Amino acid sequence: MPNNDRLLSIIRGRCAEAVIRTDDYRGDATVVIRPERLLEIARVLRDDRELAFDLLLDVTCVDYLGQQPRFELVYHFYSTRHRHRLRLKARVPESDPTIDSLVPLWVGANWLERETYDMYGICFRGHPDLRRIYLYEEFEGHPLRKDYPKEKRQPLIGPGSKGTYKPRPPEIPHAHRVEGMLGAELMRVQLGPSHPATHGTVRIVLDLDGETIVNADVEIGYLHRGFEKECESGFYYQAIPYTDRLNYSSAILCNVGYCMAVEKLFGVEVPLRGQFVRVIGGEISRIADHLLCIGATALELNAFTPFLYALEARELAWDLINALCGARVTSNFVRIGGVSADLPEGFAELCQQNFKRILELVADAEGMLLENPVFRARMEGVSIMSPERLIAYGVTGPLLRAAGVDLDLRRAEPYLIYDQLDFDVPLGSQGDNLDRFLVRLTELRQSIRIVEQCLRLIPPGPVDVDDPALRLPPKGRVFNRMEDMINQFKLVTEGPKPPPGEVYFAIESANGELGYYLVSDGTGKPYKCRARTPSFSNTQPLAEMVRGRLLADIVPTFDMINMIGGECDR
Amino acid sequence: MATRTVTVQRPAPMDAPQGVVRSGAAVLKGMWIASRHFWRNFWGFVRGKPTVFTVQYPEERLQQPPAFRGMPVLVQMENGKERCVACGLCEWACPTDCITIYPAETDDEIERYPRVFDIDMSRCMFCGLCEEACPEEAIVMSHRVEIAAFSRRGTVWHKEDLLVPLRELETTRFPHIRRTYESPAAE
Ligand code: SF4
Ligand code: SF4
Repeated sequence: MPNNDRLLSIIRGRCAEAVIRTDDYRGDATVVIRPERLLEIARVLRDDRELAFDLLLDVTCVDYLGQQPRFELVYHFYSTRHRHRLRLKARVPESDPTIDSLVPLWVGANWLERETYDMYGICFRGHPDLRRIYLYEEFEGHPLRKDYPKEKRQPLIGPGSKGTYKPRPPEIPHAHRVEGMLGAELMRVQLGPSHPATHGTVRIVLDLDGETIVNADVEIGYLHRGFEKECESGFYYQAIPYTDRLNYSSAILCNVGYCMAVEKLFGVEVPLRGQFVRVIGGEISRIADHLLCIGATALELNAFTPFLYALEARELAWDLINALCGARVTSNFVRIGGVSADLPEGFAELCQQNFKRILELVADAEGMLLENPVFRARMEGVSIMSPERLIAYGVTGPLLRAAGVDLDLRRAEPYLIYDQLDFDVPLGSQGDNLDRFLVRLTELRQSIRIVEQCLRLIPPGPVDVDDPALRLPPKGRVFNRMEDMINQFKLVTEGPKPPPGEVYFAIESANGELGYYLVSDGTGKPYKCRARTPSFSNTQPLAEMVRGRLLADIVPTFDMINMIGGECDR
Repeated sequence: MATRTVTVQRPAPMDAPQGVVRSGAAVLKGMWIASRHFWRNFWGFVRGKPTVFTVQYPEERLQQPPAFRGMPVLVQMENGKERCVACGLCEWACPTDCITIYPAETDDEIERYPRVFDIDMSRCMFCGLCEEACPEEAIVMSHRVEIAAFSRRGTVWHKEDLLVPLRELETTRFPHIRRTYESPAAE
């Protein structure tokens, strides 16, 4: 566990007059600063050898309506060298919601700041390209502001809509534009939003010089559905099914991250057996996610047979999830303070049987692909990006590990019972698409190993905490005891009420760091529920990765980024 | 415990001239793998034990595990009435607000009952939070999933449509939810 006191005192020493306050709540080091000094402090955070915060994980805002100043910008940092975290906060007033942009220091801040602008109307001084990212230009207002009503109609939507949609030509912002090599006219091509060779709704606008990509702009937001607004308008427990829809190919991992963040807010830990069950569910999800990625890659590179093998294997993984929680995709499995059900009978045997077949199928798919000259030519040496650049973009997960950076939160900051397990963290050597593919293949096999170990080691005992403040009492008790009946009514109608405070908690999901930032005001509904999703940050470097390469290279690169629309667009 | 970092083994580069030979071998290997799958499935078909993964719905149906969450339904007791007491907890718990209940009273032993109990199946996401909230085990997730309708209005299911006899549920979902009764935390 990193030493937050030391960290905070270093920061106070380096920039004393800019820091207003520091605190350390539930293990999260927080620094509140004067907004006008942001750029200067951020530079110290990044460049100081003892601090070395090289990864800007998240930029968001909290709207404290009725307080002065109203908006609080929240930045989350991580240091891959020292493995410590920091939250930086700065308040800006409603009359002038402006703050310096961090794009000069971290390129990855670009999309994050655009999102904050879109949702809260915060202006970032010095941002190269401040446009809306999820919503369209005709949209009125900033939906995550607390005074934006959820049921508000927009000019283009619903009966009696007044505005008209003005179709506009696909545009590439000037800041990113480069001239073609031959000085010839460039050809504008649009890939997507629903293109058969990309799994995920995304529009890529390209300028081509012959077949070479000169400019690229990635447009996301087609699957935006207001995850945060939806979570903020319901009780804590009602957000769990929505987290399923973030990464719909590994829903249990999203459940686990959210529930553990709420538990961190409460300061409770689930019983050991519950932790094992969460790991088992989560790792089976990870297997399913990697299988989809591998299969879809094969499909989009025109290898249809291995795709069928991978999907059959994924079906077997989903059968396990189905037996565990009753649904294949929308698992809604984990609960605040436990899980919805213990392992079913005969689960270990079912796992053994399905894993055997999954491994056979994966070996077949692998056997068809890895020596195939076409597959190799499209993967090998394609879209290499240096680890430093990836980190500057905020990329995490298999994509970063394929570039040789040893960052797996299951190992770097072991949560649940990962410190009691034995598994390998695969790293790549060259960071091209082939390495990314191989890293996923290896991780998949390691996840199977993890589940097998868990099934061997799992202790008997309860899976839920016995605390009526956050977990519903067992049904048998609700029927028979008045007290538990009252607890049931109280918890359902008021929701679990964590103490006021804020936490950030991250897990290693299938695509990288999945973090939740929750702010509680002491009521049953989250004041702010922010998901830092890996697909969002991982999709951002796509434009740079493919620049200067051939049009056909977009497909394998996009596949290996494994953008999950639900997670990217929230 | 021991977690290790390993560097993934990249296959040898496909340079000429060995690459050409290996490419040829790879094509043969691919054909070998695919034909193995073919013969496996063919043999299964001949023996009458299909190994093909596809299920010919609706003629063929999968056997679902007890945990399976289909559409939420109301438990119908032996006397033909619903078990629900219209307490409204499921309505509270539902994240999508798709349940509508109007309570009423009778002279029966259970005095309260829902005069109206509607679920809008086009909004329901089969999450099961209503089942978890219900203090009477009156709304449960059945194994039924067929909710297609010809109109939007048809997706709203009323109380009469939602009632499912206890007997059917006892063999499907109840074994799963009743497992939690004996959780060690219970007395
Ligand atoms: S299953 Fe979920 S969405 Fe459907 S009625 Fe129950 S609580 Fe509502
Ligand atoms: S929670 Fe159960 S008893 Fe209460 S209204 Fe809903 S179905 Fe009826």
